[in-house]
Amino acid sequence: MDKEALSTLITAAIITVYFWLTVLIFKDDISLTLFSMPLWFVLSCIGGYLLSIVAVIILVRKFMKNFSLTDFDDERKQH
Amino acid sequence: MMNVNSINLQTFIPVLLFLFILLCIGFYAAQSVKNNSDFQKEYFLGSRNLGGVVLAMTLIATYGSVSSFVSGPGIAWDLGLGWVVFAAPQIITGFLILGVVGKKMAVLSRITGSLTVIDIIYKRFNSKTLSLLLALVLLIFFTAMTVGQFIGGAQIFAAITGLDYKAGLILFAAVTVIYTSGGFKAVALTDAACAILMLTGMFLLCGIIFDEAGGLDSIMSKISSINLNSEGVSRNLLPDADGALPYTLLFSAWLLVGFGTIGLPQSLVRCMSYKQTSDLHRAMIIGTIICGALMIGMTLLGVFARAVIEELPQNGTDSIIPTLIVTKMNPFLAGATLLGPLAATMSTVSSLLIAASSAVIKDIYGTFLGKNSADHSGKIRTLSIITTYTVGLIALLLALFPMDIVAWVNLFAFGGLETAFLMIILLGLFWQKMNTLGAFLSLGAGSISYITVMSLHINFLGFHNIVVGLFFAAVFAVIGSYIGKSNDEKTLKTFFPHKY
Repeated sequence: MDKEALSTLITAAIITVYFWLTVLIFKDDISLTLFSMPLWFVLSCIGGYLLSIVAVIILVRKFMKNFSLTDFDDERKQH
Repeated sequence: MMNVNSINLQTFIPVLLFLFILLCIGFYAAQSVKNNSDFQKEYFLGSRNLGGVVLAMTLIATYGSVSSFVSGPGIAWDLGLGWVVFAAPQIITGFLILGVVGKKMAVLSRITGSLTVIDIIYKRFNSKTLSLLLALVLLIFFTAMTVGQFIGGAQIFAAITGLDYKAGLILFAAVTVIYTSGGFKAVALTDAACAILMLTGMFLLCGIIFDEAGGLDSIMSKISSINLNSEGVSRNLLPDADGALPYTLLFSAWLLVGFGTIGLPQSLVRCMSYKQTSDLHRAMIIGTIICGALMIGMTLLGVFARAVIEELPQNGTDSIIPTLIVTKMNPFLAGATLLGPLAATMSTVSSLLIAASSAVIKDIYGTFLGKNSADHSGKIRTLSIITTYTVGLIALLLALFPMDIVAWVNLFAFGGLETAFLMIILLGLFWQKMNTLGAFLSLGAGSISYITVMSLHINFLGFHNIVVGLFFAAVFAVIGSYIGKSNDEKTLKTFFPHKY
């Protein structure tokens, strides 16, 4: 479970870094637009949102495992 | 459109229907409590039966509150896209807490038989005093937050239906408290219904804004022409609102509404309430999709509203969204849209109320006063329900007769909760060396530093004060853990079995 916690934190960190890179790189030129909105905004906020969805799907499918929680219910009765 | 000075009966149709449905859901869910022999497990945790979809919905509905629908978009109307940048960290909120502590909380809850967050903390640190302090912190902040929600909800309710503020407040507050007394499952299921209404409310608002303003191009060109800075650029198009939102503040938002949300007890308790790991995984994905859409979407709609409402209304930015709904929508649609913020309010309140009840009954009465034995269980059933009603009534009274001090406490409730709980939970769950002294010092130093800087309006380079609170909470957790002695081996073996 520690590994999965770390994977989750790393995923969140990657999204954070992506967000700030797109803001800082594109913020100075407002004339750059996409869908009528400033490019920095579309890449960071809309793009970041879409990235978060892709990232969480990859995180869950590739880095998180299923296990039985009811096993632990039995353990409790032994305590 | 609508006559703003009289009661609009048509707005009531969707509202009364919704309130009725919520009561029905609450009544249905309360049957599980009646039929279950383990009252507390069912009342406070739904017997750990939540599926993935409901888990995601209840997390989002609990987290999203009236400010997501009213004050947030209002500020966005004023400052522009920079406020979306402030809200953006919430794209990770949907999966973060579940992924980081979700599984550990669920496993440990089962092993230790814990039904509340403070319960798990008690099993880890074995201090009744710590439990009492955390329970009091939780109660004070939750009550203040509930009052804030009640007031915000009542204001928009009155604005849209025309009904008297106090009457509207009593109506929806009463419905909320009644169905909350049905227990955790009632809260979770009504939260799911509320999450759906939050989404429809957002889509209805989106529709009316685009309809009135004539499309994205038209909206953006209107926005480009206002609040021009010295270079002729609209501050509403700049990430830092031309300095109104310093980058230090925007960075620290990733702590306040991003990483720090792992410390929110009302979210943490949900990490103990699901049935299987596949439910957790599903909730992470669904949660991310919906939470991001709601938070970014509503804030962005606030930005866009600038093209429809061109001048600041008399009552300030908080009245932008209500004004939009009242002046541009027909009564029935307005009532349906009102359900968005109303659902956000009620779902947040119900979760805070049930958790506050659990703090009184399980953590104070049970753990601190030691009245946990089975002999008391019949009494506990009655006491739990009475407690839910009592906390609800107190909050309602404080909303009917607002006091400045409550509004003041509400300002740092969110950050205060994160400061109090985050390091204790994170370090308690992942760091063997974290000990009871560390927990005490973390709680003390974090809370005192945060409340101090917030009250004195001290600000370091524009960073949000959550940075201060979390910094001291972390540093003193470590200091205490090195000075004091470790927790006993039995506890550590339970919490860190893989290390033995």
